[in-house]
Amino acid sequence: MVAPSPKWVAELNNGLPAKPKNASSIPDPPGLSAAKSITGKQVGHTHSLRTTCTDQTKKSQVAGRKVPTTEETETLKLKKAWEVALAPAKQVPMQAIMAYMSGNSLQIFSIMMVFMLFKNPIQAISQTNMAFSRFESPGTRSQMLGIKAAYILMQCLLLGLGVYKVNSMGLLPTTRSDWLAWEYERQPLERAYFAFGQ
Amino acid sequence: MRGYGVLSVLLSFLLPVIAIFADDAFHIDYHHALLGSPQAHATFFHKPQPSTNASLLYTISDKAFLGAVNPRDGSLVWRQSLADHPTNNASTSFLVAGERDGQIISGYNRTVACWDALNGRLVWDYTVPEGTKVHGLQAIALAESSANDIGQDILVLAYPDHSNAHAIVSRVAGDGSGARWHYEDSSLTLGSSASIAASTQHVYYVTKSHGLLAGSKAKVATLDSATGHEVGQASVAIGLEALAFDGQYSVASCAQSPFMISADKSSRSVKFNLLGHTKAATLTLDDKGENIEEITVHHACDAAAPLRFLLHIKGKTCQWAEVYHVDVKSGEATRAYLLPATEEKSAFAATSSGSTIYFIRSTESEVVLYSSESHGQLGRWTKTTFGTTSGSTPSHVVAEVISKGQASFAVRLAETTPSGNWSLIRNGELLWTRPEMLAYASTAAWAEDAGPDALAEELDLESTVNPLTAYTHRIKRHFADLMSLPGHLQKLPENILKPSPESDATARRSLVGTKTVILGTVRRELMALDVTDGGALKWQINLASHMSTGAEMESIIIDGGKAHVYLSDGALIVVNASNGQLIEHRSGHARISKLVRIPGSPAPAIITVEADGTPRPAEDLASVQPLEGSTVVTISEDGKAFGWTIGQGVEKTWTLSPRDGSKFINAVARAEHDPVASIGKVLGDRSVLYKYLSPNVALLIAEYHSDLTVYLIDAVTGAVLDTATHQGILPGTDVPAVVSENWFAYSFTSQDPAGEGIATKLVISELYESSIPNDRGPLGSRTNFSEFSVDAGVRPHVISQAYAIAEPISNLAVSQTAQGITSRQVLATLPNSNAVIGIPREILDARRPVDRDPTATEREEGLMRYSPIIELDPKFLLTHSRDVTGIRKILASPSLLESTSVVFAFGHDVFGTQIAPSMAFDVLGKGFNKGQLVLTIVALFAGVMALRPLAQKKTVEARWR
Repeated sequence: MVAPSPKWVAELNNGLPAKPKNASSIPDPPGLSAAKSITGKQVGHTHSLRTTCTDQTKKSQVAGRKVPTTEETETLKLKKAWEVALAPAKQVPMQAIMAYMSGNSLQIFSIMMVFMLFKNPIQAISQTNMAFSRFESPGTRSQMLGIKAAYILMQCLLLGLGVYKVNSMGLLPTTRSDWLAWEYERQPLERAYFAFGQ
Repeated sequence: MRGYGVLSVLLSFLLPVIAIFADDAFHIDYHHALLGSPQAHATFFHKPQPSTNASLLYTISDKAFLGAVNPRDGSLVWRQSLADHPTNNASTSFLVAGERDGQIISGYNRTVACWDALNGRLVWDYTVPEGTKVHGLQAIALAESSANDIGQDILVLAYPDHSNAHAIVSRVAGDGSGARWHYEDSSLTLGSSASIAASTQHVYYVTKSHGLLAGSKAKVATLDSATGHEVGQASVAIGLEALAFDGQYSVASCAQSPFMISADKSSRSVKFNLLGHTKAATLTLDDKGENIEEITVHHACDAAAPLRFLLHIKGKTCQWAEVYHVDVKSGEATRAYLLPATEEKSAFAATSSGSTIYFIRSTESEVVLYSSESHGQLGRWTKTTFGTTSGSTPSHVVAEVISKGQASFAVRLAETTPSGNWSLIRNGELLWTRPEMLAYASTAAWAEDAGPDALAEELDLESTVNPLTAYTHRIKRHFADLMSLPGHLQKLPENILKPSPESDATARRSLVGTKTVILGTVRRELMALDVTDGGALKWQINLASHMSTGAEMESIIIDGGKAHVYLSDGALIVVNASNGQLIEHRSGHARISKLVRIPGSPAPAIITVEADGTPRPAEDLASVQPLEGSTVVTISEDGKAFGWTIGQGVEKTWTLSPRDGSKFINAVARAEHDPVASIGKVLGDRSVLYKYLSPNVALLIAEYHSDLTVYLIDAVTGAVLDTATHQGILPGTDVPAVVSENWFAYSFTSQDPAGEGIATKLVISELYESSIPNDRGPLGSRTNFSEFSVDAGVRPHVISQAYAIAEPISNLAVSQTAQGITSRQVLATLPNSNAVIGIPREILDARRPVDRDPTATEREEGLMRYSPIIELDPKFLLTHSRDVTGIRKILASPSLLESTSVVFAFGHDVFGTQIAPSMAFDVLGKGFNKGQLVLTIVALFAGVMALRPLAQKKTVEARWR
């Protein structure tokens, strides 16, 4: 008696399992051969699918979609980069309203809010290069510097809002009383002792 | 075994939590309600109600306090002060117990007062004429049938104070309706002896003139008891020395037949005369070949009992007693028996139970009960449960005997020892002891804390050596600690199941630390009290033998484990502060009035101050050089202040005389240990008002008739920084003051010149470097400065506010903590309500806005609108409901906890507590539930353990999915 072949052998031989229904809208990743998904039962159905698909590509190729030039791509990239760089500025009014609403008392909500106000910009600034890496290209490099600077400036705007919030909460050591502990009592050089009895 | 160990560790979580709770009233505070030393002639057991069998112990102390003590536990039932002013020597006081009417009659100074024996309420009082004092008090029993249940009238002898007054014998009605009759003796010369005695029909008035020519005869005038008319006069031979108390010849009294007794010590004879008989009998004392030093007479006080008395004879080396029976008809006294002479000192008491008289002999080691019939001992008890108190020979005793059947007796003995303890002994067993000597405390000082901690020493050692050695040392130390672990674990279950009743107290003491106060008394004793342990006496030493007559304890300074007691005659006594052993005694040469200790090399130097204010380095420390350039401030007896520079010699630098005629009556400075946590006051807008902090400021208070002037001075330069004047001061009232940190407070009682209203005011002043916030004045942030530099002469900005309070304050102090972070409480003695109060400093704020509500920033600072009257909230009372009388001084000292200050007050009563003005912020509160915490942790742990396999299974499955 021959032992039944393992599951993986069967799966390899049968190709990929059929896609579940709710995943049918997701396109296959580029390069995946749809032919692999052919199974005995569904041959007719998939065949028709394949034909429509190839028809479309054929159509686009027929329409002769103009491949964008490098300059165009770069302009597009720069546009996109500026959008990303200015995005934090749009957050400022919302954050300001939230800061105003949360009040100046030390509560868990306001503390968390202040924490996020500091954490997000600092994190964003430290990841500036990463945020713009997809727009980076040899042609845009020089202009990218200005965009990054604008991005950092915008993040600093948010940071400034955080600092203002902390200040209004009274957490910044800006007054004399905050440095009182570092001031010392003056010691007189002469000392008097009092014979006033017990 | 391992499981047992784990179990023990788990159980250790359940150990009682160490914590101090906010509502520790009556747990952490203690109060010795004292009377003073009881006097032999005015102490007795007495039933306050004729219907009950329970008796109370009544006494008049030599501080003129009349009090009743419960003999069961020694607690004070009630007390009344007979004297207007505190006194330490009220020997001529008299106490008579009323028969069957529940009254106690006292006589002191000019007042005869009748008190309810049960609750101490005044029933009536009678005042003898001006110029005389009560010099004798006797009860005259009334017939049983008399109305109002009043058992007796009172016979009063008023003795003249000066030659213009006459001696007066009065019979005062027992219901308080005044005198029934007076008998005036104008022939009595001052200094001669007079006494009274009463029988049912007659009153005997015995006088003996004083002087060489007076002879050895006493004049006995017999008065009719009902009318006060003289019915006869006789002259009776007497001995040289009167035996009744206070140099009186007649003895008492409550017996039906009063008698006279006097002695001639040299001829070993006693002259006895039963009053009413003319003949005096001479009783020859037993010859033991001894010089007789003292004879005292003891007799029972009961109308129904036969007349018998006991003579207690104190010889040079031994003491014995002779018992005499008196035949009332013939007036003869015969010796019934002798009690054996012992070398041990004894004290005797006579008491009666029904018609039987008992004599009790109490020595250091035993109590013996005798019948008055024969010398056979009815009972004998060895004194047990006595501590190792040496010299506990009682100086006098009073006794109560209860006969339980044929040969069984119970004896209660109230003993007064020379050390001042008043204790009750029942059948030889010590029931309680009252430390009455504490009522005489006059000076006190905090003893240093117990020696350095062993662990702290080890840690110090580790920090000084090189890291490797320190590491090995630490490992060794930890191994040594581990050795005690098994024992600790074994004891754990026992500790948890049976927590000792003192565990709370010991836990507290380990947090607060141990504090000891060394007290000096006017009785010339020195003693140490543990003020964190309910005021328990640690040791006591009598310094009378080392003090010359007239010398008083001036000051106690504790240094290096030794208590230095400076006496007013300049002598010095050095005592070991931990056990009271005398180390050294140096006699003095010059009278000193004050004392100050200043730093010097190699040790602090003592500067003594003479009465005229001149300081002098103490002679006993010639090797010690005081620190040069120090200034010493003294106040002379005529009320001037001087500043002296101590250098090679002593040089006067400034003199401050108050306005013409006025005198400095009080002077205070900041305490030696007065730490300041913050040098500025943070205002609501977060700017800083800098405090004027100088250790050299002093507050001098001058009084002239009804004017009071307060000077704030800089003691180095003598410059007056601030003055304030108040008018209409009530003369003779206290003006207490206190200085601390950057503020000072004083209180005075004044009379409104327009109306007759009397008000007590408490003035608080705060000193700041500048009136402008964030300004430190011309000296800026310099770390040190010379008082003589150009910039230093700036006066502080003073803000003052006066508050009216409901009653006078006799004493002010301030709470102290280790670092000064905790807010302060002003501690004040309220003599009118017999209390000690702690007023929070936040209420007494000089910056409270006047006539307007505080602004938002002021509210943020915690300032309230000024109100001229401070209500003394009952919650402020540190003494709670207790009646703490006669407090003359309050001491405060920091404890190991920053939140807690140890307070000790003395004077007459002794009171101690621990206060936390900012609440106990550094200890766990009562809301902390250790059981709950442990249960939560255990439940969480169990939950984690239970979920662990589930979670593991889930992760494995997730991997395979």
